[in-house]
Amino acid sequence: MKARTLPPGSDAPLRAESPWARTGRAFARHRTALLAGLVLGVVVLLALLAPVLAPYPPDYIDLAARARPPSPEHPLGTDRLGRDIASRLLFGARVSLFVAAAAVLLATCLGTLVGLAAGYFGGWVDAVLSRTVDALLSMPTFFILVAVQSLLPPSVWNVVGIIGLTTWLGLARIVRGQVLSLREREFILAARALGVPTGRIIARHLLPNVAGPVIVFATLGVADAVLIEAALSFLGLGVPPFEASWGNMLTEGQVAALSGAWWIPLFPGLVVLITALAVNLVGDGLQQALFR
Amino acid sequence: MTGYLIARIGQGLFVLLVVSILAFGLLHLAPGDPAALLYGPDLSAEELRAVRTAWGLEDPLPVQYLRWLGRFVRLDFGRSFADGRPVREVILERVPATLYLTASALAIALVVGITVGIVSALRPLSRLDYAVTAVSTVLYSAPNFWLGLILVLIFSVWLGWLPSAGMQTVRGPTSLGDRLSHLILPAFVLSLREMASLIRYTRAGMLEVLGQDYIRLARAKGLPEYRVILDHAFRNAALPVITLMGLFIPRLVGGSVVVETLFSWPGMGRLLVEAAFARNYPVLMGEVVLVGTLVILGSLLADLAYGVADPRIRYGKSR
Repeated sequence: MKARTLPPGSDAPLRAESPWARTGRAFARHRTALLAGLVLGVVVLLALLAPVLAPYPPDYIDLAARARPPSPEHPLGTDRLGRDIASRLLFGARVSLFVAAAAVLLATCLGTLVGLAAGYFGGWVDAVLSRTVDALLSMPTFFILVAVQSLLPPSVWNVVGIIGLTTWLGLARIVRGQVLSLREREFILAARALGVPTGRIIARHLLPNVAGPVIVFATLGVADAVLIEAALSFLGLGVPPFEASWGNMLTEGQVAALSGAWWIPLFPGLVVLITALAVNLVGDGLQQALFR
Repeated sequence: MTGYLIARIGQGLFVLLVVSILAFGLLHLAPGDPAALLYGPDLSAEELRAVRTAWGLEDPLPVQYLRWLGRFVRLDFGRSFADGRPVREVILERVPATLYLTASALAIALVVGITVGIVSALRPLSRLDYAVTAVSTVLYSAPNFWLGLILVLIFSVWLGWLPSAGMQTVRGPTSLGDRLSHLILPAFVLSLREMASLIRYTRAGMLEVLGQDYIRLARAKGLPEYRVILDHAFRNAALPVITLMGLFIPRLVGGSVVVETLFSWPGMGRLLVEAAFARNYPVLMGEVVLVGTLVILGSLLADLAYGVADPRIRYGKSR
């Protein structure tokens, strides 16, 4: 992934640059995306270092300092129970980012598998899978999300599962389309003629060729997952309320906002916005770097 | 066209069937006994079982599902566990509020999104264009309910200009102005995400179309600029925008869950959350299936509108 500099005077590299190196260089030229990637890195780092950086434990309640505006002791203020908002944001980042990453991993695997199967095998497999995807795409997923989530016991894993299971549809469509055109190409025909087993054709020849769209989808999917987690938790149907997550912090923000305590809803929402924005910009940059 | 319609309606019915089976299975396998939830510790185990038998909850699941489906096709969704009223009544009285909210949000998104998108595309890479792109990217990445919270904080709590909850003033006379002032914040907040996509797509579509030869021809033959933009450029740029409409309907309806909860808007989204917390199965089922039906009808209409807008599209022949 390292960009190589060419010796002066030569107009062609000695060895052909790998596609990944080319993508890496194209991405690095995209300044907004690079900056967004940096911001995202900082957010992840802050989440990892939460126990070191947070001035208070996330559940530490200071009854004497309830709903206090930002001050030197509490840089981002305290919530209505007297918990330090900055500390909760740092620890909440771990929960929110974990939920988003795990949900996207699940959605990406599902979407890629379904898309590969539908595109490669065609026939009735494709018919069944594609009709199901079309069908689910026309549903208001958030309604189903809320309905199902309300019936499961509150747990982080349930949130991961439900977001992962409802967000893979778009990817399945994209992968199917790609595979449909790829499987008619000569190199697949050659592989088949040589007697390469189906599993190996899919894993070694098809998968690397759909990696681009899959990566872009997964990146953009993280932004959506962060937003869905926030919305579900805001409704009280996401991450268990006793755990600090960005969405849970916003739930308290609703009552707090009506009493004028602006810092309680402002900061968690801002962090969600910054994270989703950075992820979206990185995704856009990757898309431009990969498909140009 | 007829063949296409039949295929689409068939597909829609298939979706509803699959979704109803999945939802029904999940709802009934989930923990939590609605009889115990409603009557709590007041009843003995035997009395609870009597209530469950009366509600049909003691029968095998497939029997319960078929009974439910049989009633469903006659538009009978059963009775709400909460107050014993027919579910159809409970849901239908919430439909107008949601339609009113989502239609207003769609209108705001369309008017603002398309106008801003066109204006932005007319001066590509200008400072205005950059600002529009930046704002729409931010709007697309912001949790809309959070923006709503901040707007409530500014306009309701600090300035006191707009109400923060409900559809109208509860006590006292209601007027058009009163209703509008209650509508502004929720409808605007609900429209933001769709507005952001509309700006992006309209801008991209316009930029592509404005470089075409027929636009140069229209200008060369001396058409006034506004007619070049609106009649020649926008009509062609609008096509991808119309396809988006089919996606907007499920998204707006989904978004209404959070926005209605935030603004105490008495619509279907808030009813869903209320039913979810009370494990009110009949209402939850009715909501999922009824909203599914409405959304599928909406998407079908959007597809048909596409055919009207673009005479090159002929449904049925290619399929």
